[in-house]
Amino acid sequence: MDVGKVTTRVVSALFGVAIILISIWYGGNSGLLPVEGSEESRMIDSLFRTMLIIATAIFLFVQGLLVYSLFKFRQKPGDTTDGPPIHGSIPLEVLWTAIPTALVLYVSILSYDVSGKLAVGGSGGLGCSVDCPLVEQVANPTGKELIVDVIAQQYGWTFQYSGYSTEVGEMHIPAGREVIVNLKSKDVLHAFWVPAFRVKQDIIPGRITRLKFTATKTGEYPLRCAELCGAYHGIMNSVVYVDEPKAFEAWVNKELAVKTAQVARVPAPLALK
Amino acid sequence: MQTSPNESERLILAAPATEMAHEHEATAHAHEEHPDLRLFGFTLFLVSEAMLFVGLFVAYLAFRAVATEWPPAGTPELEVILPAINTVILVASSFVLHQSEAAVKKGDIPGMRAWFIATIAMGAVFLAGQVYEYTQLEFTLQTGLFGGTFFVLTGFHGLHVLVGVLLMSGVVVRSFKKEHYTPQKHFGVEAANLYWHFVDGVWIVLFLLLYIVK
Amino acid sequence: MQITDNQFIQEPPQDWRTYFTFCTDHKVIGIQYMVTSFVLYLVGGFLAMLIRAELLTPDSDVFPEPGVYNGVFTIHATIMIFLWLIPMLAGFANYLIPLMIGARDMAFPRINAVAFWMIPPAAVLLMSSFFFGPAQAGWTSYPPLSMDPATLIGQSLWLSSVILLGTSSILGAINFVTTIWEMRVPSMGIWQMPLFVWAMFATSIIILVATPVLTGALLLLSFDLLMGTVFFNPTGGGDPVLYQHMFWFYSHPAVYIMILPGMGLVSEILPVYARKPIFGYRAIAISSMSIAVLGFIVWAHHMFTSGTPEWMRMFFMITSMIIAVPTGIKVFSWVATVWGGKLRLTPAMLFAMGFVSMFVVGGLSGVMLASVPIDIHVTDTYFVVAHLHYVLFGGSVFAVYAGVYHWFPKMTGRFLNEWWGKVHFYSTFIGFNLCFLPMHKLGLLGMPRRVAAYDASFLDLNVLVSTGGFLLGVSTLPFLGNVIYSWLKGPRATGNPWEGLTLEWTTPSPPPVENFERLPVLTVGPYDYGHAGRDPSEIVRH
Repeated sequence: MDVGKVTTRVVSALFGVAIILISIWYGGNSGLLPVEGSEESRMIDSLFRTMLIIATAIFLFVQGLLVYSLFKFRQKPGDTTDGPPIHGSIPLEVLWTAIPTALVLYVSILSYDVSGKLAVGGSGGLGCSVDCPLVEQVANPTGKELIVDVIAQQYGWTFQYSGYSTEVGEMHIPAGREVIVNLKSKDVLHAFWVPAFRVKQDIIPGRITRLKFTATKTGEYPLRCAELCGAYHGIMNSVVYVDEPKAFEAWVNKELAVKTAQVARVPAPLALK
Repeated sequence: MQTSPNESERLILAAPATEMAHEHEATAHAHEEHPDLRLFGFTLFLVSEAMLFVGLFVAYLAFRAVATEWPPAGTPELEVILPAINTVILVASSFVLHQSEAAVKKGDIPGMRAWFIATIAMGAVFLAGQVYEYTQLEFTLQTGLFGGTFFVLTGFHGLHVLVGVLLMSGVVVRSFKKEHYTPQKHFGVEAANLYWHFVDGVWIVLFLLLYIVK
Repeated sequence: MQITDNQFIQEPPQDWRTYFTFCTDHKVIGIQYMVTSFVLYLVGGFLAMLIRAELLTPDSDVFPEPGVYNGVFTIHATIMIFLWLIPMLAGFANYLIPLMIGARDMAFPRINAVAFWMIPPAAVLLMSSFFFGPAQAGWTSYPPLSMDPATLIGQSLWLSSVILLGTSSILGAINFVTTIWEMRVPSMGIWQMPLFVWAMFATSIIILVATPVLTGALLLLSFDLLMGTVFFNPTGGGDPVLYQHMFWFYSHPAVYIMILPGMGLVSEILPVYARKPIFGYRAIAISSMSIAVLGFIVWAHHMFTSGTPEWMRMFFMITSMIIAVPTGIKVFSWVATVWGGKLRLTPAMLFAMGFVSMFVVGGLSGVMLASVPIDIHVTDTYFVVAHLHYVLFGGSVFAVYAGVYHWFPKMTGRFLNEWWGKVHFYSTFIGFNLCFLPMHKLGLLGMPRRVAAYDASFLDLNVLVSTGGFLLGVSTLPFLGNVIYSWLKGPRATGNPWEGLTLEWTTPSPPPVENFERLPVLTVGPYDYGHAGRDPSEIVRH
């Protein structure tokens, strides 16, 4: 084996290793994601980081080849001849069909897995509300969740907690407890999105859509409308307050229980079990 | 898989065999015989039109699939006899029109014309029947999903029938021009036939969906 | 026998007035498409500058009413899709297909002209909507928002414009399919067709099958808007989500309508300037057809949060992932074409290689979007805006620029200035990436799309984006100046200045009305580079 070939192979191998190392580092340190505020965000971010590693590696590899070509294969001045008459290579083409297929399969399986765990909700499907008889029941309450009706309208959010008739303008939820939101619109399409939780669901007038999530960190997280709903779509924002369970209970007693003395209290759905 | 250098050799080898074709082409240059591609193009157009109806049919089926009750409660029962008669007329008219192709291939222009006129008459009867049915219906375009889909589907179809009648009339008028339609060259006749069968086919699906299956 | 240029009678350049008439010459129609759509590109680009001006600050403070901003981005996108990319690429198809297959014109020259002449009135309809309050529901026009009585006129104008443009597109496609299928010279079997022809064949089939479904959706929407029906109106029992299904059934394949021709252009251009055959010709041809077919079963990946059931989301996730494979095959084939070649870094080549580079980025973000869990977070955010611009600008627009630099000499008989072409390339490349790369982060961090106002924490990135956007806007000027000046006064071009091997290069620049003195017989494949010192004019024999 001549030295030139060995050198080329060693250098290529080193580049390959460098690409892999950079990709792994970048995948975990991209700084692209907001704070992880929910269990869902942990799973989704983990998936995203994996995909980012793969994407970075492919990106560096392909761009590297292109940039290298730009310099190495430039036609020398005065050379009017053609390049080599290479039309293809079956082994190479099989390789670059098989590897992307494998990668895509891998990423699909990971995504399928995460999606199953999320069980975030949705609605019954075409034309249906969450209780549509035709299709699967979506994110059905088991009794342990906090259930909040979210009412979206041009251009604000109100919230009504299960068992209480008061509609409030602020959303408080306890950390560590599953929340189901029933999403309703008074007018056009909206979407409920809390970037910190990584979950989003369109709100469709005429039906109820549903989202399920569990906040993990106390704090204040923006809630944004994520479906064009009119002139003030950009400022249709609110805040989700994730409280310690005790603080949450205090808030409930203070804000929600106030006006519902005459309403027959449904056996404590909000109380922690 | 890929074009190999052999491919280009093949082209060079093929070239001598086409010497004859080349000579022919050279002399035919100024007045090259173009094959009549219009039927090919017209068929593609009908594929597109079919997709328009497919889209509307799928919308209808989607509404029907998720409705708790279809037709929706309170929708008056659709009268089936008149539309059924109309269906028979329209389907029969396709067979009638088909005779025109045999006629033109024999050079029998008056015969072809007669079949066309008969079909036009049947199409006109269909349209009249449709209009009459519209006047008798107790619901309108704005009557919920059923009214909307019913009138849009039958309305667009009816529009296509009208266009078909006009196309056929155009062919009839053209047929008076000497030698316009010959046994070898009669695109207008073929196109009108194809279009009419298409319109007929759409109606069959429509009739089954709206009146029979419900 | 060798054919050299002076055996053809050089026809005098066409009288400029011809371009304003109903002319059936495919070359005239091609140029009509290209110039008209480029003018509209400038309008759409100007609207983009307005958007970036608004987004320089977190508050909605540029437009007197925020609804106007919504109108601006609605019309921006509508123009860029229906009045820029689709007709521009149809223009290339019109110009090149007959020349590349050895035909004298398209199968139906008059319908060809009709298809073009639908574009100016459609453009006027759309532009006029600014006088009445334009449509403001986004180019996607989702009901119920698009049925807002306040924008009735603007929305109606939008609907009629788009329906007209869809019809024009279908007429063009009928011509392309018929011409490609039936009018190739006898010696050109389907495996000897240039890849641009393959691309247009695949694209045209998509247009024929998908566009009418959009027409259906828009017709039903029009009825709801104007006739009081309730197809998509929930208060009457209608379903807004059904609209989304019908809309995206077309609009997803539409993105392939916009990218496949660009990929075809790049497949033509890279071999010429690498002096090397296209790598994997058959794989690229087959992948174009595969993408066309697969493209019909991925649409609901635009609807992962629309209330689609889980089984549907999983199905569309998998199909959307699969479509990455034929796309990847093309990318690797292009890289392999360039690898080991003898690269001439002309502006055409720079843009073609830039296409590959930028399209990879867009493709990678696309695979991320295909993943349902990730999409749930980033859908309807600036992540999607980043993705779509990487594939449509970094992809299609770069391919268009490459195509213009490459075929301008053929079409006009004059050379574009190469130095200004490089200035154009570098300023475009830098402006483009500065504008759209940070958008990925903006979306991930929580900035929704279609907003005139945003959280103050997004300010720095938005300023960066707007700066890039303004640079991108300015970068169009050297191109515009170059084209105008060169068309009038540029140095004369020969028949085959780039030593290409496809049939258009065997004609003079510009070609005579009937294209070929005598219909050519192929002796050499379209990518048969690699013969050292071979006389490139030895392409055909007669």
